[in-house]
Amino acid sequence: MENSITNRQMFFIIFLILTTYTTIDLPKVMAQTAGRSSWIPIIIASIIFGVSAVIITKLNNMFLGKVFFEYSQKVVGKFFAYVIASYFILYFIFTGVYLKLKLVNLLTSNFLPKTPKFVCLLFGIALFAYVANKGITNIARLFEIYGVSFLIVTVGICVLMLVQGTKYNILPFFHTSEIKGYAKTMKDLITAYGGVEVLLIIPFTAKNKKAPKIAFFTLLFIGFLYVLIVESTISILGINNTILLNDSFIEAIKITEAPVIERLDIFYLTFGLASLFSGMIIVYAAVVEFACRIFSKVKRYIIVIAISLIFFILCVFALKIKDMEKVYKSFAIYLILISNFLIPITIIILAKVKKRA
Amino acid sequence: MMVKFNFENIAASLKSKNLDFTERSIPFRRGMIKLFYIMQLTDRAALTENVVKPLVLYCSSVTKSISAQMTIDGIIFADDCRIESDISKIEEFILSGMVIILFSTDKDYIVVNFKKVEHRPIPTPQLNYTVRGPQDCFTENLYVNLSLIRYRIKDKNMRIKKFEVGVRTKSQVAVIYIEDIANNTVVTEIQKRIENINVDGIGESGELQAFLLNNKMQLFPSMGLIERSDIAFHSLMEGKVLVLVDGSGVALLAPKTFAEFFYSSDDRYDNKFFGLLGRMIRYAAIMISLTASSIFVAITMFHTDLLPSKYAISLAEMRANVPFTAFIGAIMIEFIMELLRESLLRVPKQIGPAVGIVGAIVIGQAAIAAGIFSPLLLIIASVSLLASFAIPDYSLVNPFRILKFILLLFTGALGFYGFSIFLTYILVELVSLNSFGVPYLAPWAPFNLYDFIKTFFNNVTIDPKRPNYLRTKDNTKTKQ
Amino acid sequence: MIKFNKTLLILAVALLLSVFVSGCGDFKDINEKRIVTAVALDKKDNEIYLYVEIANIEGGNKSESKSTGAGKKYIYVKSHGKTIPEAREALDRQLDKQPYLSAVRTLVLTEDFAKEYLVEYLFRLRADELYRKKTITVITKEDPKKLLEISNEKDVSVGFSIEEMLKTLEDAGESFSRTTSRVLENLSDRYTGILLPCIGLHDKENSLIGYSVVNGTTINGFIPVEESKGMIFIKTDKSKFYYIVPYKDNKFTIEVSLKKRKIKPSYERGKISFDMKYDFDAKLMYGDKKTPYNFDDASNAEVTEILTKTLEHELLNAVEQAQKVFDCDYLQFDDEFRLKFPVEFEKMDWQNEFLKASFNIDAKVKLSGTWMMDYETYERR
Repeated sequence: MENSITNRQMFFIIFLILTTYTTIDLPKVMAQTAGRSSWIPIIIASIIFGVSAVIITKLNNMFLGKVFFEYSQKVVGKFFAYVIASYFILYFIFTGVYLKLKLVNLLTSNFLPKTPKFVCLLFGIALFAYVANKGITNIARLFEIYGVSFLIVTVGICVLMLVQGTKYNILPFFHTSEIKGYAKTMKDLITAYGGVEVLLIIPFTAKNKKAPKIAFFTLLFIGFLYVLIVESTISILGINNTILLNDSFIEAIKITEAPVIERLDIFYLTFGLASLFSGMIIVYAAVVEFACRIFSKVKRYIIVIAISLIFFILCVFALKIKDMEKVYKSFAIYLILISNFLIPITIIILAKVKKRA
Repeated sequence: MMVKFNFENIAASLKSKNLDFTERSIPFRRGMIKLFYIMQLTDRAALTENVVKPLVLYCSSVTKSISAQMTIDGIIFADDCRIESDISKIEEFILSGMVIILFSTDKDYIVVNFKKVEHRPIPTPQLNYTVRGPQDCFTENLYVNLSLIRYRIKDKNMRIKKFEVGVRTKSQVAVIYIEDIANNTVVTEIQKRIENINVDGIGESGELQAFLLNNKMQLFPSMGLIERSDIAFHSLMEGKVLVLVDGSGVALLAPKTFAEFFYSSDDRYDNKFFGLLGRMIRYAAIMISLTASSIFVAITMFHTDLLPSKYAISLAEMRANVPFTAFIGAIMIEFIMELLRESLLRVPKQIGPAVGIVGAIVIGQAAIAAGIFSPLLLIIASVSLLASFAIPDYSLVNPFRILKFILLLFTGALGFYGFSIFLTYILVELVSLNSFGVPYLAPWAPFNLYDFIKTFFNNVTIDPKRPNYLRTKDNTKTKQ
Repeated sequence: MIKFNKTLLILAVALLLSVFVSGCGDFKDINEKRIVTAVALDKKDNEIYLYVEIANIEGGNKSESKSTGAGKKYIYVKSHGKTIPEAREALDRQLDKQPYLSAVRTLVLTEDFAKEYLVEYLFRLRADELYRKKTITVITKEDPKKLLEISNEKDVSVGFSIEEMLKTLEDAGESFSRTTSRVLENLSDRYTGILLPCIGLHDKENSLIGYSVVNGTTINGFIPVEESKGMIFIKTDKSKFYYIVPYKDNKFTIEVSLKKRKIKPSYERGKISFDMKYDFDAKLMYGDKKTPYNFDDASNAEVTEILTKTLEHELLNAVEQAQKVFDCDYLQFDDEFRLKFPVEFEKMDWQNEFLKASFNIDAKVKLSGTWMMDYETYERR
């Protein structure tokens, strides 16, 4: 099946996977560590991860028509390519389980408090499996539609929040005493920027020549969106409430006035569900793509069903783990750095050395 | 297969096997001429005047043998005639409405086209009604339909390729396209699919359409239904391929994207801003038709806090004495609306409007008075029904009628979560479809700015290029 | 293979269908709930009294009540208990349907209740997912039962009427309202000083009678509405009031609206001071004598002088009241100071420092005698 994407679709893939869950609790994390000047570490982190996006896209451009698993075999040999692919499968499964649980918790707290969690899990996994089975091109097209609607709704709501918010809550924009928290902030931001590595499952074509530039500016754009979300939340809730409340972005939207709609957060979440699904879909697709290449003799739909079962079982077990969030964040930082920096940089250096040789 | 020519045997065989074949014998000194045709399919006046009369006059005066070539060159008057020699095809020609002239002194025979089938006069539109624009539509006669197209397009590059589909019916199918515009891949694919059809017969373009789909289980239409000749003309100019079936008054159009199902001729003929308004209303209409009841159910049953307090109180008051939950009520009312729609299609024209009005009023009023439904639910269901009529090409509405019920089921079980899940399913289906290689949701996904603007504005003065997603050979329409 | 696919499909559909049914745990039609439009709490004799105003959806139908005269649109239910959860449980035992708290417009707390339980109840509101977060919180000196009964007699909702009254006053520039979220935001700050509108009865009508001062976590004062003009000018952006200024033998009614406000904090040698500059637009509406008023430039200057002094006096009074009477910065000068001196603000105890701060108020009034009526040059013929 055809698996190419356009640059615009790549923008939306990166946009949706990064903003999936981050938007909801990012303001709390930022308020805790960097306070009112959290925009500075956000922009810095955008630039750093923009560089990672450039590296990954350049790597894909070096091997047009091939995905990471295929060209890494040429660079590091079959054995290491399989090892790296297995690592990515486990990494994406780990991330997928975490995202799925977050979705279920969000649904339980905002939409369906009495519905059993496994029901939400089951329907979600069935959907993600179905979509992942359709292939990257169709997923990218879906993201084009979802990305636009989510972006418009999010920016619109943030602007509404800023208009209704109090300027005293967000000023001053910079405070020297908050600089010492930047290091911890940057560490917390790593999980907010994890996701660019999904580009490794997408084969680039000649029309993706400008992808590195676009990927970099996408990350910058996402950084500005994060700043908008954080500032608008703080302007509504105040710095202390933002720190106190989990899902502070949703709580802030809850108290924002809107014509006709009483609870704007439900309206936002209905569109936001699209983006939440998108994050899960692309992670699921990443697992499927890697697994299909490793187990090339097995039919695609069988792999999809097997992965669905694995996800379901793992999610049911993970529901019983206390502080799943802490467990995830403690490992995710290193995994994201490895997936976004260590592996792509190593491969690109080896590829360039091999090319020269 | 070449059969040895035996005039008497052939004539006897034709007459004995097919009792409705008409035989006309014209003797001449050296032999006999026999005409075979089917009365119901032949223009008998033209046959008598242009073939029988000259032959009779000639035969009565001539003493030599008469051959097919001689007859065609100097005796009969017919614009569409040719000489054939394959005996095995004689019956086929007669069954397709031709007149066969057999000669006892010649193994060749003449096939003359005096086909005249009873058909309706050119009707006014029933499916694609518009306020402004030509009102002539296709009929069941292929040649009439071809004439409607021919008089609009005088391009020498327009090609009409004919196929015969159906072992028993041998229905004529015409594939029409403009050679220097249409994408070759699409043309070849359509022709290939038509040639691969191996079936007893097809009676209508809908049956042919089923064979031309990518996937037999596909829900959404990937070919348009064209009733009007002006739409056919515009589509051909866009670089599309038209398929006409003899015996069907509805033509097929390919490729057709999702957005194009919302285009109406009025958008083109009227002021472009009215066209824009019309399109926006239609896009909104399909969403309303699909989601209105589900949103009502989600808000009433799961997320009432979305509504301001006064609306919530008002809604609760309306539903205070209603025994059913919003979900059950919505399913029932949607079913009644579908029942109404189906029954109004079948009811005789004379009593249809009366039945419709009485039924709607009685059902509506009685149901509210009895407290079975709340007034708001009835309004929503009615608006949803009305919205479904706003789509110019009705073939797109049918899948949404089915999906509406499934969406209701998901929403009734899981609120907005279920709603989002099923909408995602629908969207994924739409993005993964293609119509003869053209992405179904083009130009929204994959996005193209120029074509995207065209999905809202469509006017000849601001429309110099053909849509990019059609990948036509000639991209430009106006050569200014 | 096809058989396997079909079996799989059937299994999947069966599983999903069964899950569908088990997943329908969250739905409840809106008419299956009791819609609460106001919540009032009182403390009397060591008991907490909880009053909820409920929309009477069955009996409050307009057409029905017109024809049969039956049913009020809103009814109220009372319960009590030793603690807030107990009072709520007692309420749940009385109601035939689950209460729907996402429609609560106003939260009315009596002074006695608020002195002890303000923070507890607001935190309870925050913790309840289903409670409406945009509810307006007000204090009352009256028995909530009286407020509810009066509204009930007129067949209006006390929740809606108080909310709309405060919103109308806010739009007119004569007051401000506080949603519970804003109150919670202030309560989470290191230093809390806020004003809550106080509702009472004025000629048997629910009315705004003043503002209750919340210092820390309890109520420690009350500002009558007649003495609140200065405070409103300091707190709100679009305030507007009418003043009657006696001049010569006329009493002019002048509409004064706040055009611009600039508060400049300074911090020198440990001393905090605020320079407050207020620009007012004033329009001479009418006098109490017949025209012509011959309101020339000299008259304008003199009336402006009187008005300016009045306004400065009111503004100063408002600040002094906060500093000296209530010992509480409910005028939120801490925000202004924090913006300019964030480092210093972090280190100081604002509660005490505010009491020592000095305020310089400079009000400028631009009075126009020619707005709709030309009082400057009119001559009778």
